Amino acid sequence: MGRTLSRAIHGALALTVLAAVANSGHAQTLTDKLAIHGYLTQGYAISDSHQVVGIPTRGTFEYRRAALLLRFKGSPNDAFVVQLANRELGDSPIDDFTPEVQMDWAFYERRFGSKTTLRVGKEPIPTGIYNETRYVGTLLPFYRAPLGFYQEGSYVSETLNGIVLSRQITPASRWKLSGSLFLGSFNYLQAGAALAPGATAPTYTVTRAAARDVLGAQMWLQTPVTGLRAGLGGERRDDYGNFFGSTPSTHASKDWWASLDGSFSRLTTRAEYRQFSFNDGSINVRTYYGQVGYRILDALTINVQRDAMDVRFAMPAGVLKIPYNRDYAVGVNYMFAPNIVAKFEAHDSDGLTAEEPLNVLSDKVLRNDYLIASLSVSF
Amino acid sequence: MQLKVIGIAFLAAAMIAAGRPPAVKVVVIVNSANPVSTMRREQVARMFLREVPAWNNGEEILPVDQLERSPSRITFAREVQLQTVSSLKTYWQQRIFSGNESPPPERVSDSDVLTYVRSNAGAIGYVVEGTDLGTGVKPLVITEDDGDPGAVKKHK
Repeated sequence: MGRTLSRAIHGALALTVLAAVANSGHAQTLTDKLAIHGYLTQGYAISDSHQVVGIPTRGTFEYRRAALLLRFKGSPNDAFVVQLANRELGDSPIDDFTPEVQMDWAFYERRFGSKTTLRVGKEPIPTGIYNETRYVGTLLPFYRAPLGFYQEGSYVSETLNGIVLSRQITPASRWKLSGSLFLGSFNYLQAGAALAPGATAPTYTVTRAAARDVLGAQMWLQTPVTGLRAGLGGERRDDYGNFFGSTPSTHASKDWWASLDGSFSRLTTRAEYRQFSFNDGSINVRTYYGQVGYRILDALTINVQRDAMDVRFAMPAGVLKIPYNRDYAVGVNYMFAPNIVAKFEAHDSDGLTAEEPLNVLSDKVLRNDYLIASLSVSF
Repeated sequence: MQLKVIGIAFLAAAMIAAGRPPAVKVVVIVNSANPVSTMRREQVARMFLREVPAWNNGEEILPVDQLERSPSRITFAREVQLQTVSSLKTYWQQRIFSGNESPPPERVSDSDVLTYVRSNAGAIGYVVEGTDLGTGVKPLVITEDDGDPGAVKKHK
């Protein structure tokens, strides 16, 4: 109770301070060398029948993401970036594995001319449209980036310990090609039903895992149509401490993705497809989503989204395909300013994503609806 | 005369009601020590997006903006950057929060922009056309993308 109250007070204070700063309308640039930015999304979420991504049936205000970003520019070509972050994920057991405030990013960036950039340290992984800004509520059409493609809390790391090399491949022209190459490692969490030694019934369990020898790349092609771009990326890695295998275990994983991003004056259309292959290929995940947003008034936007995920298990008797999640969402965003946005969204989510000890191989799909109301600010 | 006054008042009221400040023309300026005197519009736009780090002489490019609601900022965004201030704000949020450069610093008035450009050899800014530039600052000739001198914008 005390911790809950403390969190609520901290959240309210943070929201007040950030909203006040956001109202000032511009960054707090202390000098030309040091820039300080931040963002916060405070939400209220409630589910009607099952707990999904921490959203309980009793509702929760412990739904938040905030970050403070500091960028120090040593010279025109050198910068040091640090981001501290806080996330509350409702009643999700994953919250017990993440500190109240964590060092989200810490990297050195070196620019070579105007076309090549190298980052070394802990930096965001260039994956798809949203990964690098996946928690910036003022930029997202919904509270979170599509769950199937981006995940949250488990089976994902937004950051990489290693290097990211980015380059504009073709000169600025009507067709502009750019790419990123990344190499390193990261730790992540796995969650699901597990039978503890000596137990008779499975429990919903969270365990730590690690990805090593991560090697990936992503390319973006900016088209002559203003606001329209297409992307393609892929990654390979070795997973350690795999939930699905024996312990200790090492399994090769790989995935690839394709993205289409159209941002026009009033219309936004986005679609992405991703295919993961885990556990030496014995588990395959295919996920895709489509989003359409239309700004009906200068400040008011309506968004719809279909997010789907299928899991295929290679079994002795053949491949078992499970419709793991189908999420249909509709939302309304009101933009008080580009850096202050209120959102209300409803999700019809059918699948096996509930944070319960489900047997994904045999249990039936659960029907679930949930609502999220949130306010996002950034400066 | 009375009709003219009423007409101007009506126009001003309509502009206020539409939330649009009156249009102005702007002139792009650099420090007078800067050897550059002519630039293409697209080059200027890229500098304000911080896509180009340095001038040809190696001096760091230091773009300076005006406040987002200022008429000169709105004109500069529309005529030089070919975007709205709001879409540029969103662009900068995406850049900032993916760990990239921050937007140019903002100054509250033409006079503050002039001071900034005067005190920084690599600075580039813009002020309302007709503003007394004083010493230490010079205007740039801005051409269209094809470099056609006949298409010089009226930014001087």
